[in-house]
Order: sequence, then structure tokens, then C-alpha cells
Amino acid sequence: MSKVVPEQVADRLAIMDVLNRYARGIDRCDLAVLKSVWWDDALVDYGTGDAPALGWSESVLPALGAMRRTQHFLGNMLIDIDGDSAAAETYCRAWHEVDSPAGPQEMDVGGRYLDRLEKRGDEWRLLHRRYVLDWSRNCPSTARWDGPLYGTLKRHGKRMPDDPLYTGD
Amino acid sequence: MAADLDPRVALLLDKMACTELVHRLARGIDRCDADLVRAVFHPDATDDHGMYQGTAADFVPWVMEVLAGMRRTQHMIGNVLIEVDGDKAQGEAYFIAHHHIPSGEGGDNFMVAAGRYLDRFERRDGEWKISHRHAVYDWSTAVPSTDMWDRANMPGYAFGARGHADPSYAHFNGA
Repeated sequence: MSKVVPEQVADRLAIMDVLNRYARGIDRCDLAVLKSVWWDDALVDYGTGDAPALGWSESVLPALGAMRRTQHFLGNMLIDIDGDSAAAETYCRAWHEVDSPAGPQEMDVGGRYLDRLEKRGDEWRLLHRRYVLDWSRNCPSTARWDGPLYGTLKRHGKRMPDDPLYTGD
Repeated sequence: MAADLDPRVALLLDKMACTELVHRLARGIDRCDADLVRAVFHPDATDDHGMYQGTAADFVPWVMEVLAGMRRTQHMIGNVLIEVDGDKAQGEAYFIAHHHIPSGEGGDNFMVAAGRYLDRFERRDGEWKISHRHAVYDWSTAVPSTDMWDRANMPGYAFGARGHADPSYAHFNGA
């Protein structure tokens, strides 16, 4: 599995970019970015069976947008390239802050994406994504945005088009 | 290494190969796969985890026993800095390690340990492997587990497992 060879440097970097772009699309609720990671016939399975990735992307963004904020923190990437197809495993720690009758809650979820990617033309995109759940942490939110330290850090992450990424603020 | 390789690409390759080893070691630990852990070290490699100091060969059974006392782990790797010097390299890899540990009182504890792996890599016979790993600890936090998944009754969902039961093995085998 997963080994670095000279001929695949550009492929590996392109695949890593696709994997990272998914988190950008999800956390910024940016549908165009999110859709750009999938081939048209891509399928996703987050536990409820295979579903078309493009339709899934459209339906997941309102759900994400209803949360206060999310951060999909990607770590370890193991990438096994075989010609124009690749298998990858990517670690993710996904932090969500959501409203509930009891006040805002944190859901922190550790898992992994098991992906198949394909290169068509000169572009790599995801063809199949399966999500594996490893652990979760669920508790009342301890997020703070005021006080002597946090209060001075004024630039907060937001969704498209309000995030500093888009506003240039 | 091919002599006609652009030195900038050669450096990139060396850094990638070393980073790959860090990721593979995390996978070996989280899957409790002794063969996978052994494979990233040179035969004469050493390891310093604080509570363990010795050869990498002896580290493997030691860490497997430690892991056996835990329910599940995930070692997230973040920032990786690699400095290459010929056939040797030094690495600093940030980690956040998540552990679910039976507390003995019914519930589990969720223990997070964060720090950095200071690794020495060597290329021998064209292949990079780890010759020394030193785990440095920066911070930790431990709370009662709030995991609420009913793993036995959520058909369709894929849950992480130890060993070859984990879906990643079939995945990398092309399934």
C-alpha cells in the first residue's frame, strides 16, 4: 500500500488538494467548491448506503448551514496510486457546534474517509467516498468569543460569502 | 534516485516519503497492526516514548500491550516539518492522539494527548525508514467519554476497528 514514487509526485499533490478542497467546501458551505471534488457519477456512503455525490452535496449544505459552525480538520493522508486510479485514507477530526433546546452543543467526531479517486484527462476527482466513524465527544459547548484573549481576536470563521476568505477582510 | 531528477523534485519526494512513514506508523498503531508498525522502522531503530526507551523491535510488543488496554485510538498528525540532509532526515510531526480507555467503573475515559514526534529518518538501499522516534508531550486532557454511538445497532455505518476487520484493509486491497 501507499508508497511514494518519483513519477507520482504531481498526482499525489493533486489528490491531496482535492481532499483538502472537500473540507473547504463543507466548512464554508461553498457548493461550487464542494461539487468540484466529485466526478459526475461519484457516490458517497456516510453509513446510509451509496448516494450520488452531487445530489448529496446539495442536500448536506442546508444541514451544515443550520449548525453554528464546523471545522473538518484533516490530518494523515495515505494515498495508493495505481495509474489513473487511487485509493486513499484520510484522518478527520470534525468539530461541530449546534443549537439545541439545552443551549449550544459541541459534537467532535473522529473518523476517516476511505476514498477512491480517478484521473480523467489531467484532473483527479473523487469517485467514491466511504466514511468510517472512530470516536465522538458530545457535550455542552465551551466555545468563548469574549474576554481578555478571545475578545481581541475579532476575525471569526463564517460561511460563504461572509468568511474573510471571500471578503478579504 | 534517478540522477536526472530536478533537485527540487528530489527534495519533495524525500519529504513525502518521510511524511508517509509518519502516517503509516499512526495507521499501524491505531489498527494495532504490529507488522505495519515494524515495517516503518530500520532493524536497528530505537524509540523513546518516555515510559518506554529502547529498541523499536521491543517497542512493538510493548505498545501492542498498552493498546490492548484501550478500546480505540486515533493518532491525528498535523504539521510535519522534514529537513533532509543526503540520506538522513529529521522530522517534527505534531500529533493529537485520542484514546478511549475503559475506566473500570462502567464508562470509558476519553484521554487526549498532544505533542510532537521528533523522528530521525535514514535512506538505506534507496528506501527511507525511521531510525529513531522520540515522542515529546505538550498537553493533555482527560474527561469521561461522551461517545454515544450504539455500534452494535447501527447497520450500514462503518466503525473503526483494530486489525484487519477495519474497512481500510479491504479498501486498500481494491474492494
